Amino acid sequence: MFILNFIRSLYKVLSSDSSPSAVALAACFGVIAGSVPPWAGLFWLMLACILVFRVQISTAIFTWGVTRLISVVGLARVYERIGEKLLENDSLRGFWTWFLNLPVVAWLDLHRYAVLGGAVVGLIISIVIFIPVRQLVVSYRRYVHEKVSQNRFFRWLTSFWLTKLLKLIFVGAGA
Amino acid sequence: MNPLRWVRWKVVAVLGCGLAALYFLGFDEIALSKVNSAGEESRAARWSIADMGLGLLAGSAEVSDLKVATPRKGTDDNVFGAAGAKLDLSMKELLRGRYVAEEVALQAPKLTVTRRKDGSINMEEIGGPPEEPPPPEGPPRDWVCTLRKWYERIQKVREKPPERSKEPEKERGAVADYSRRATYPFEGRPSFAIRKIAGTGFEIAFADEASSKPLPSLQNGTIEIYELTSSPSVQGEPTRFRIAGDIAGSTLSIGGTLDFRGERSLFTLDTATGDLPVALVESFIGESLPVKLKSGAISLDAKVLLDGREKLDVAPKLSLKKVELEAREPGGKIAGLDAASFTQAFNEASMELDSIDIQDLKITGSLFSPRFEWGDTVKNLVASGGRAYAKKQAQKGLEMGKEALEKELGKSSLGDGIKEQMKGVDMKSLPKLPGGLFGGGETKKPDGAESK
Repeated sequence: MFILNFIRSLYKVLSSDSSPSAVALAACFGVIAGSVPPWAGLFWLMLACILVFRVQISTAIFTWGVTRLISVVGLARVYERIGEKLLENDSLRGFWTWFLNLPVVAWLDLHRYAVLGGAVVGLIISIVIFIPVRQLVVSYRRYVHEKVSQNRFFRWLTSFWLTKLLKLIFVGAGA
Repeated sequence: MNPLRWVRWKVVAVLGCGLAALYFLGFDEIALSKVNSAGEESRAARWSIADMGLGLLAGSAEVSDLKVATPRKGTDDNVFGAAGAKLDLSMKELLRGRYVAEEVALQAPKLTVTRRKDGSINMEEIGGPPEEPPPPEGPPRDWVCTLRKWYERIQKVREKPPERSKEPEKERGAVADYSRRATYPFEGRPSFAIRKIAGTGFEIAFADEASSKPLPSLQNGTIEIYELTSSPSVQGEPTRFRIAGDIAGSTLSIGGTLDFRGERSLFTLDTATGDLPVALVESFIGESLPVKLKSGAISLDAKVLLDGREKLDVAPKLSLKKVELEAREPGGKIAGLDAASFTQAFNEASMELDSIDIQDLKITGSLFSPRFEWGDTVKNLVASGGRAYAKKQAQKGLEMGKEALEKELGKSSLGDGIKEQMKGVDMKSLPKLPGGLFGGGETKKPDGAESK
């Protein structure tokens, strides 16, 4: 059921009117929010960003869920080690003392090892995935969606009842 | 691309309305409930407030009927109270995660200082654990013991190693420990700070449970405290305070500085009082004095310096008016002299003179081992006997008065005639006049008198 929902939501996102940047940015916000626990100030900041900015909310929720799951399963321990390495690094002490006392930043709980580690890992993943996700959406809409749907063979194939059934199962009735 | 279109304005409006509704309709109640529940659970003190009005946008808050009690549960041991308080909060510091009040204006603050039957002072429990065991049976204690206890408590807090993450890691598997954190980024700043506390109509009610006599209270007072923070060792300026008011018809003024910045442990106190009944003094510092004060009044002008554990420097100027003493230990020693002889001589002199002024007493050593350096005043008093000394002092006072008078008269035309008349006067036959017992041989001048 989860895989079905995943395929359906992916199809809906790829076929929606949202701009590719909105989808990619939503994925970034979702990844960062999922890398930190829900009580952390940074999570609430990300949630506010997802709600306030015109990003693809379902993408954000989806990436948040996936990242949260991975964090709970075992990545959070890695976050903690990374955060500890960063915060206890003697050469970075001056920077952290300045940065963690900045207005608003002081409320994000970044002085906790696991939260800072999660935020850093989430940020790196976000930077890494932003362009590929955007390109994926652009490519899908430009090539796959438009060209395949106009293809005669594809239209002939989708006229069969079995194909319609599979489409109903994987993509949903609204698609 | 218009950046304004990046924002979902409808969502912003809905969130704004929701927050505004919470702020105007329920925020005060939530804050009141949080403050009172924190006051019930606190291990340092119990506190409660009757009402609260938060104006976070304006950076202000108002509370009414503030009560602070000792952490002992189930007792009604109020230590501090105020009819109301206005707080001027710093919103800029709040964004930085600090709770800073620029000014707290207290309305009718009242401090209740109670000396219990076991000698402990109610205030010493503030800041301590709620279920602290009762003090062991022993000699009765007083304010000096309270000060020592507070001093040791502050030292313990200062010497506590900073919270670090170096504790051995427990086997937690894949689960992260979100409580592990770095504390050093916030060590250089106090989390809670009040720049100024000011109150008028200040009252201090004194009570001694061991005595049936009521003690006078400080009335119509003012209180000012500057730079009160949660981390005295890192605050920018030392904590300063000043209390003034009327007590038993006399004025009382106490000011001081508490400086625990860095490695310092400096405490200075500047006290000036009018005539205080000895019962008040006896109740609160009596146990630390080598003699018992039975009756009379004392005025004090003292500068106290306490620097660390090792340095104590107190130079009190005492004026004892018709004070009657009793030796605390009949066989003991005071100023290196027999206690009984000392008290007898002192009492005799005290009855003869209007006031005995001691300006050459010094208390040095340390808080835990004070050393009394009695000056010539007390030594001469005991050596020559009370009555003889009083007479001598009175005589000395008269002679000095005569000299001063002659000096003044010498400047005027009337002087020569009066000088002639004064030559024939036997000074010893003159009636006794109020005199002093200054260590340096000076005579106490009447109130209001200038050098003339």
